[in-house]
This record gives sequence, structure tokens and C-alpha cells, in this order.
Amino acid sequence: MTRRLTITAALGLALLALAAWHLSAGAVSIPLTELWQTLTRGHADYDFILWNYRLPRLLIAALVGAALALAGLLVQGVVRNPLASPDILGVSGGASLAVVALSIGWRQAPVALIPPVALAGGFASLGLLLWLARAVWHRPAALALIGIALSALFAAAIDFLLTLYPLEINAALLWLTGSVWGRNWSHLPLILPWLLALLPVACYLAYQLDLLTLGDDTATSLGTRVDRLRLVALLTAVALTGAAVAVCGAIGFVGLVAPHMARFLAGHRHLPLIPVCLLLGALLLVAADLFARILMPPLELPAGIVIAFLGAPYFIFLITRYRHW
Amino acid sequence: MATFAWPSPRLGPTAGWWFAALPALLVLTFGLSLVGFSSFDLGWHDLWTLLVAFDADNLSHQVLLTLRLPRAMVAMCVGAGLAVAGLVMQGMTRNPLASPTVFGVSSGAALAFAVSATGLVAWVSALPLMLVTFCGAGLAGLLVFFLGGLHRAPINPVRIVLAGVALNFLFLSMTRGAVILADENAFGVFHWLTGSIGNVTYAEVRLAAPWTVLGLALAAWLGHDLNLLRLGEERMHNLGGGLARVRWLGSLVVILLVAAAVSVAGPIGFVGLIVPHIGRALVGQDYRHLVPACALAGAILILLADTLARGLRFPDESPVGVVTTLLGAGFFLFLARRQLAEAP
Repeated sequence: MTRRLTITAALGLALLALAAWHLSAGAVSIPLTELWQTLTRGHADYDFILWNYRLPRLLIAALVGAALALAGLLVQGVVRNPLASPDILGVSGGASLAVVALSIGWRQAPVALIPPVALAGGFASLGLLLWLARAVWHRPAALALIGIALSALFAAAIDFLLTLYPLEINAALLWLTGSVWGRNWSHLPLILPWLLALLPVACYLAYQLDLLTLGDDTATSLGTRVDRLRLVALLTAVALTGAAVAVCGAIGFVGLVAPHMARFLAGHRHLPLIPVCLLLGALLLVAADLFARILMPPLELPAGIVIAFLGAPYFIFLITRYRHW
Repeated sequence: MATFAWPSPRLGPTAGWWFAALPALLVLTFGLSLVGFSSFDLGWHDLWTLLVAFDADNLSHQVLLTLRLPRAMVAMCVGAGLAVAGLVMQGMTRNPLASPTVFGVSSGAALAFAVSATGLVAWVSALPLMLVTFCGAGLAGLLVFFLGGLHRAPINPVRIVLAGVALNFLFLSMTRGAVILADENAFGVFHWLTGSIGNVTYAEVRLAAPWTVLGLALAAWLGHDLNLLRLGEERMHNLGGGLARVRWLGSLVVILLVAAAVSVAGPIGFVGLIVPHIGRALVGQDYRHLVPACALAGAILILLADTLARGLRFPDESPVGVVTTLLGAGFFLFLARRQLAEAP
């Protein structure tokens, strides 16, 4: 117990330190000594930059990372599959396709409409996956393969739409690779309420997910309604992913890597895992965004590309270690 | 024990019919791609007069010769090369999902090309393009070979596909990063990453054609070995086939063909996945027949897809890769499900 608390506290401190670095680094460098003063009492030079650019961007990166990590934790808990995560199962791809279709079909679509549409796309793709993979539901690698094929199909459809309507290509391409660039306070309501509303649901499900790790039969005999649990947990994960995609586009691999790291650090019980997982997700995305900005100034890479450098090798590592083919 | 019908060197009646039909279809689609969807007013009669009475002052003739002909030639090279590369990969791994796109070989070559073309690393840009893409494709192929566990005796088909997809994603992200660092023109990036033959010249034909022909010849020569390998690694060994030889030569063929195709057209997706399956449906399982059949069918597919892509947003160009990727991704899903249903 104390070990978990220590780990959670250490991760929190690490996130704070990284956040301070994130706020101070950039085209205009804010010295760390001035940072605190700017935040509390205001500063003539840095006020505008900090409050209008850096702070919302930091918050959004942290929240999106946390949401994706939580979604990954839920999906891996339900599917009991170390290779599963919303992006590998094609949910992110479906949500992206829905948003691209919306932005092409209705140019002046209100921004509040994007999360529900992303959500609808996510649900549709989850339904499609469950239908297509109904025979191989219990074989982790097989499910991942179907999910990947589905993702490829969604990506192809997005490419096709972008070819037909090239005017939207610049914004869409940047958005699709997963970027936190240019996000401001107006994007915060797209993600924060979802996370606040769904976090209690995840905590409520945590104990039942622990039971599910013992196997379907044991969980049932211990009083868990397994099918309902699966459905609720998957719906929660899809909602979290949809909200994240609506803000930042499809950022891959956070939902895969963060839960694994969290399990490594804090064991396999879900309730203490949740805060660790949230913090790790936030850490990953904030770090990715930071490096995306400071690696080659003044150019900015999309954060999704930086995450891929970490996530894709990790996925490959998982495959080579995985033994239950 | 399952009986195995040794493939006869003679063609069956339907296969023979297809071997007559495929070249005819190729000529037809070749002509169609020359005259179809042009900003200039081109028609079949221009093609006819070009053949029988060439006139250097005729605008249509000049357009056909300088713009359309190299494009169609590159399309044929790329299509035949990618299709046969996919066929050899499927034969070597005995995995119906194998293809340059799925295993990340194309995107490895594309990454090498991007690094060379953007000039991020000065000494890479100084090397000849074909060498750079060859190294990129080779490196990617080697990685997926070991990560997929191909060096161990039983190959798990799903494992190698997952490894390939992850590598593919990694290379794609790196390519995107390289191109973003060099140039912020999203439209150009997109066109190139999807695979486009919109502005090729005779220089590209001269670059790709010799290597493609060499690769195709090597693949045809490997046909018998691939037939043996189809029986399984162990039986091939018992029958006196050289497993190491077919793997090394096969890899060389794949890398050569993919590097040549990517150097001129970018990573055009999924051609190597679709065409071998079409080829098997048409002429059967014998690799000695499959290699020429797939080369022809691949050329036809790219010619058709390019003509179609031109018509998508006429008179603007669209990248040919968009058409093949959309077709191929659906086909990939279909194959993946069938593969999983068959495997226990």
C-alpha cells in the first residue's frame, strides 16, 4: 500500500516538474524563477504567452493523455489481452473517420458537435469489430489482427476523402497525426467533462474487473454480471477515446503503453492502478508534446509522431515476448 | 495424410485461356491509360494515327509521347514489380497476408527515400537513389524477418503480420516527421506518401525498368523452388531443395522490386497483397505460372487504378495509391478473417 502511494506521489511530482519545463520552454523561454511569479501575481512580458498558449496546451495534453491511458486500461482489463488498446482495435480510426466526414460534409459544423460525432464513430467501429471478430473473441492476437485490418480500412477511407476534398487537407492531416498544437481554452470543455464523468464509472468498475481477471466462470460465480460489465467498460473506454480523438486526433500507443507501465509499477489491482495509469498517460503525452516542440525549433512535430517512436518499438517488444500464439 | 497434386508444367484449360486473355487485357488497359481522362483532347484515333502516321508537329502525338507514355510505362513497372514482390513474399513465408505494404518493406524504402530526398542527412543524399531505397527496404525486411520469428522453424502467421504492421507504423511516422521537418507542404507530403505517378518522366522509366526486369527474371527462376517450399520447409529439405538459397534469393528479389517501385512512385499500397490472390484464382498454384500471371495482372491493376485516380477529381490529379489502398485494405480485412477462421 505504501509502495503504491509512494509511486503515485513520485509520478505526481514528475508530472509537476515536466509541466514546469513544458510551460517554460518554447520560442519565448520563460525562466523557471519567473514562472511562479507569472502564475500567481502576473508578469507584463509573459502573461499573454502563458495564459493563452502554454497553459491550455499543457492542460489539454495532460487530460487527453490521461483519458487515453484510462481507456486502454479498461479495454485491456475487459478483453484480458495485452495487445489490445483503443487505437489497435480500430476505435480511434473509426472516430477519426467520423470527424473527417463531418468536417467535409458540413463545413460550418459547431465545434461542440465534434465529440458526439467522434463518439458515434467510435461506437460504430467497436460494433463492427465485435461483429467481425465474433468467432475469435477469445484469441488476443487474432482480435488485434482484425482490429488492425479495420484500422487500415478506416485510414484508407480517410485518405480517399482527403483526396476528393483537398481543401481541408492541411488542417486534417495535422489533426490526424495527433497534435496538441494550437489547442486553446475552447477545447477544454470537449474533454474535461467526459473525463470527470467517466472516471467514477471506471472506479466503480475496478473491483469487478479484478474479479474478471480470475476468468469468466469464477467472476460469474462471485456475483459479477460478466456480459453487462464487458459492455459498460467497453462503452466507457470508447467514450473516453472519442473525446480524446475529438480534441487531439488519433494519438496512437498511449492507451497501449501506459497501462502496461502502470501494471509494472503498481501491480494488477485496478483501483490503485487507475491514478497511476492516469498520471502515466498525462506524463507520456506532456513529454511527447514538449519534445515535439523543443527538438527542432522553430519547427514543431505532431506529438503523435513522438509517441510513435516510443510506442511502436514497445508494441514490437510485446509481440516478441508474447507466448500464447 | 493429405494427398498433394504435383503441379503439372502444362496449363489447365482455364489457365491457358487466361494466359491468352491477360496480355490482351494489358494492351487494352495500356491504351486506355494513354488516352483516358486527359486535360488535352485525346482519343483512340490519336493513338491510332500515332502508330500508323507519326507527326512530330501534332500536339496530341507529343502529349502522348512525352507525358502519357512514360507514365504508363512506370505504372506497368511498378505494378508488375510490387505484385511479384508480394507473390514471392507470400511464397517464402507461406502466409497469405504477406505483402510489401503489410510487412513494412515499402514504408522502409519510403523512409529511406524521404531521408535522401529531403537532404536531412547530407551523405545519404549524395548516394545514388536506388542504393538508398534498396538499403531501406533491406533493413525493414531484415527487421520484420527477425521480429516475426522467421528464423525459427514454425512461423506464426499472425505474429509476423503484427510485427510488420507495427514496423510499418513506425516507419510511416518517421517519414512523416522527416517530411514535416523539411517542408511544410502538406499536400505534397500526402500525395507522395500515398504513392503517385502523376509527374514521372523517362528518367524514372530508366531508373526503375532495368531493376524491375532483373527482379522479375530472378523471381521466374525461383518458381520451382517456391513450388517445393509450398510443401513445407521440412519436405522441401527432404526433396533436396535449398531452403537458405530460396530465402536469400527471394529476399533479394523482394527488396530489388520494392526499392525500384518506391524510388519512382512512392509506397503504393496493397498491390502486392491483392494481385497474388487474383493470380491464384486465375492460373492455379504453380509458381512457374504465377510469376508471369501476377506480373501481367499487377501491371493491369496499376494502369486501371491510375486511370481511375485521374478521373476521381478530373481535371486535377489524385494519387494512384488512394485507389489501391482503399481496395486493398478491405481485401486485407477479408483475408485476415479467412486466415483466422482456417487456423485453429
